[in-house]
Amino acid sequence: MIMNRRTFLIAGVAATAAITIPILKCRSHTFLTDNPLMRPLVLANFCDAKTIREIGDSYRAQVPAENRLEKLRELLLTDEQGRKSDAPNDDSISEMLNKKVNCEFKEGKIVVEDGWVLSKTEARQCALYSLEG
Amino acid sequence: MHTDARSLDDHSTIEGDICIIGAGAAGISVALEWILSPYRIILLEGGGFEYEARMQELYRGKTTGQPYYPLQSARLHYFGGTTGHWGGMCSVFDPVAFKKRDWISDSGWPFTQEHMMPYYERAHSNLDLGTCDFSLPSWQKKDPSLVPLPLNKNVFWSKLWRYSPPTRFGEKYKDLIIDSKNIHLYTYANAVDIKANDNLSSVSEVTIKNYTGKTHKVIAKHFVMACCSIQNARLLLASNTQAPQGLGNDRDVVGRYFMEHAEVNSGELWLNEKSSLKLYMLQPPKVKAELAMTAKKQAEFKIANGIIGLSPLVTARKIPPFIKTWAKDDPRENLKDISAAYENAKESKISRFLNSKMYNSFELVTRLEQVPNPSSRVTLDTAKDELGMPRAILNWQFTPLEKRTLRKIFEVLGQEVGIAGIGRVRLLECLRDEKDESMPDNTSGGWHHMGTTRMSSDPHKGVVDANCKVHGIDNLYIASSSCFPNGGAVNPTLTIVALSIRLADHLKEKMKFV
Repeated sequence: MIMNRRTFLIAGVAATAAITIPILKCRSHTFLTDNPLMRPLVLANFCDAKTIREIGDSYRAQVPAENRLEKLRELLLTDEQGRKSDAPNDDSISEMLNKKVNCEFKEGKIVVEDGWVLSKTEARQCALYSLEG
Repeated sequence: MHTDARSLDDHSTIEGDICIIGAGAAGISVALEWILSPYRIILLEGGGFEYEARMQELYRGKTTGQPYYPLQSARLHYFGGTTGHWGGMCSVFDPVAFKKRDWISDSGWPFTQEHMMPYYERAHSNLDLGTCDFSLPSWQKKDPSLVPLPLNKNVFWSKLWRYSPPTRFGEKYKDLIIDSKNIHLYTYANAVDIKANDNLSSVSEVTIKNYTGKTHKVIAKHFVMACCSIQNARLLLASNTQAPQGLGNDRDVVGRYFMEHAEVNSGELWLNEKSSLKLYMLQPPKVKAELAMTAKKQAEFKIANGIIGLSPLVTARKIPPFIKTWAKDDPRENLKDISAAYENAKESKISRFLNSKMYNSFELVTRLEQVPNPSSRVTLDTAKDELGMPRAILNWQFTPLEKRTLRKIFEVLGQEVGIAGIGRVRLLECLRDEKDESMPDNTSGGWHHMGTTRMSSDPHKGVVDANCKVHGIDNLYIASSSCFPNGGAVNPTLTIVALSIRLADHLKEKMKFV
């Protein structure tokens, strides 16, 4: 089948975009941070660093009592039973945070920050990122 | 049979068994029920068979309160009424719409959804909807790819819509009505006054006029007002020579409780993985779903009903709200503007090719139930139209409950999407301030006028009884969404037609024609 000029151009642009867009998307997600305390996993699928920071700024303004690095770290590293986490590495911290996020949604421990309906833990992750990221 | 009322001699008298005022979806549906009967049915249409600016002009009025469309562009004034340009989306009112809800003042119909189902089934035929099937499992048997979002079914469910072609009543039923021996259609017959007997217990005649300057009267045993909500209220209020407050308005209810469906761009759904969400994107002639909160949860949160439509954000965010687009006096121009907005928002070929109908972000638009509110009302202006009728003033008002409902639905949706682990929900700016009770600036209407002659067994709370008969007047009935005690959260046409068929049945029983 002979490809006409118009189809060729569209296919060319599409192919370029198909290669470029994933790279751009990938960049926007990976430059956030790999630190699980500052990386809300679900939000990282579709929010860039600026959005995460804005959510964090909004949360810190709403909850001034948590507007400190140490406080946020402490709260994030406390598991859903209120015990201080002894997670030895990033993977286990990530797993613990993920569980907390799920629990909080089920228990209705949610906040609305910058319009996003989030679990408290996710909002704190954003807050920490906005302070330290 | 058809007569152009302009051709009649001045001061003619038209006589029949039933006089139906208005030939839109309601009036035509009532008339169709009497074809081949031994009764003479008079069907009055204010306009002709085509759009005419001069006829639309009779609908001009003022609006106050929540911004609304120009009134002369919000309805069509010719045979077939607003079905001349409607979209065709149909669904049944949820059972909760019919129930008395303690947290919503003046809520509840005098009967249940179950009672309405046989009429809904018959209305399907008028609207060319096929079988009356709103069951998702049933449609999934035909197409297993119709998969709902994996949300807790106790909180949100996928409510189905069906599509009418859309049936243009003016086109579909014109010949049938004209060829009928016992249905006498009069075009250019604008009802401007209703006269009753001395003690106002029975209507004796209706005065009709047109631009020729001629005046005629219609005498019948029974009268059915089948205009839209604004015009029904206007006609009753303007029929004030015998009753200063207007006919059927002893208790100051006529015109009150005007309702619309507030259509509000409310939020965004962001998914972890791209999806077509086919069930929610389908276009005519199949079904389409929208997200609805369960009645149990509405009761738990003490909120009204609202259902959420989804569309890909990439295009939806480029489309301005209807309240901004539908701003001209001429509805045809407004339709063109809306079509142009959709055309401009279309994805480019490249984008369509790349996305292949798979998206990770969707705009969420709520169609919100407006709760009954006596302050939301139609009154008469001192200004009159060319036929001498006072023009209407619409004061569209919401209560704080509608805004609270909107916000709560989206908070809960956000929570459920979080629990399902499929993504996140973002509320638009207009819903973020918990203390702000006002409806957002982008609130549009669905062109669904309801209330104004609402149904209630209590004459202090309603203009018509459960049979759509005006309280205190033996032979005056109303077939219209103006009878809805509350408007649910779905488009009204199917319910208008169903209720009209129900009224026709009642009249048949009364006239011993069964």
